[in-house]
Amino acid sequence: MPKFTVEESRFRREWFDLVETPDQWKELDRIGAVKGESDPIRVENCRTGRMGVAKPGPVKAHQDYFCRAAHEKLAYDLAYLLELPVSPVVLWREGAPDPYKRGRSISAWAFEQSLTWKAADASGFITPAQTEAARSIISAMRAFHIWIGDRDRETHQIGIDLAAGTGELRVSFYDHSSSMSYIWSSDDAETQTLPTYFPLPDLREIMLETADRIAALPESQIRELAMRIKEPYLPDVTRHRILSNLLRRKAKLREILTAAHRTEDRRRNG
Amino acid sequence: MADNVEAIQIGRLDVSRITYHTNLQHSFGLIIPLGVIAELTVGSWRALGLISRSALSDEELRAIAGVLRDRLRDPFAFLAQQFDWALAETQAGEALSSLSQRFADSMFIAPPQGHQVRKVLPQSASVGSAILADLRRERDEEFYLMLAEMAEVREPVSSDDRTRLLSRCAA
Repeated sequence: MPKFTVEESRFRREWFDLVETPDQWKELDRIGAVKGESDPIRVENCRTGRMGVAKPGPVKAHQDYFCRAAHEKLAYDLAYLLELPVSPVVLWREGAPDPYKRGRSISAWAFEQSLTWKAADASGFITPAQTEAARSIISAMRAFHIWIGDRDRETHQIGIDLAAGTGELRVSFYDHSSSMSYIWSSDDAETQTLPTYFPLPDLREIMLETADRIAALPESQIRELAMRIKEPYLPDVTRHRILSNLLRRKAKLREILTAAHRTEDRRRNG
Repeated sequence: MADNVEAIQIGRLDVSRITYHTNLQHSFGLIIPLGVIAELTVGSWRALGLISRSALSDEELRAIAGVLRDRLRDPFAFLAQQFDWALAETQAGEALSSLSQRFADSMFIAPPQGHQVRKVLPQSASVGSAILADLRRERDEEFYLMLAEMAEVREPVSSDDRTRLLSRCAA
């Protein structure tokens, strides 16, 4: 499991406790440019100078059916409870509900210097040993993503710490907007699990251990995290749908993973 | 009407700045200007051009994390690999947006900024030269503008460049 520095742990706690930023943030430049993404914008905290990434951007601001910001915040909060390396997120009310119908979130950068796993791998920066060493955390995060119904996973959503040198890579996960109510259309939605996106197979034992840790989370704590995200970020009916699915799926996550593994084995064996 | 009036071709020219952010978390981090990449599509033609610094100062290199420092001693060599990837793996008009999605953190390729172009292309062997001249002009203007805007670079800058022209019809 990841080791956070003292400063990282302090900051992660601070943004876990903070639902919505009270600070002024300045919008800087756009980041990324692929159709269908969240149109994110680099932002700077006017008081502290901390940088982050706000989304959605103006192109997606009108999408009132898509609670991107709420998904980002809740995914971080749940990952925090599990000590999983999702980059810290707070909600940002500026510009809501007009033009930002469902508000915005700000994600902190996990590392001072970072590349995505995909870009680093394509550029030859990641050794086979580092890929092998990352399997544990990737597998743990796979269980987490399956729990929250996040089917939009790719290695470009994993940031790596460039300060790591040739040792084990520190990683952080971004972009959980297309999860939960984006996928779940009813209170007891079925969610298809996808094969891994990582170059190496899952470590199934790690996935099942993570499922057990998720199952052990107190229901009251998950309810509390969902309840503190209010309008305009999350309408009541959507919160109810998210909670219903999170609680139901947490109880049977081991079963969901085992079924997914069986499907993978069948696919592999023809 | 005269027979030698050629059709107007509509196309697009985009440029993206390439920078390196030495501290993503705080605003006081050094941002190192590296280069500019440009793409021009018009008619059946696609042109891609890169201009980049070929060396960094010692101070800039010290600010880059270990894994990348050696690779960025010659930024052009590193960026030329990305250029070749974009040329081979992306559709015409999509190179810069694909690169900006790929490098959206410390190595930062900005989302493309551009404009429509309307051109009458000569029906001769010089058509390629005309397209590349347009591409180079805008790419290089953006590069030197970026260097001038970023006060960190005060010394003469060595640079290198690469351009490629493809005819979609010929391909």
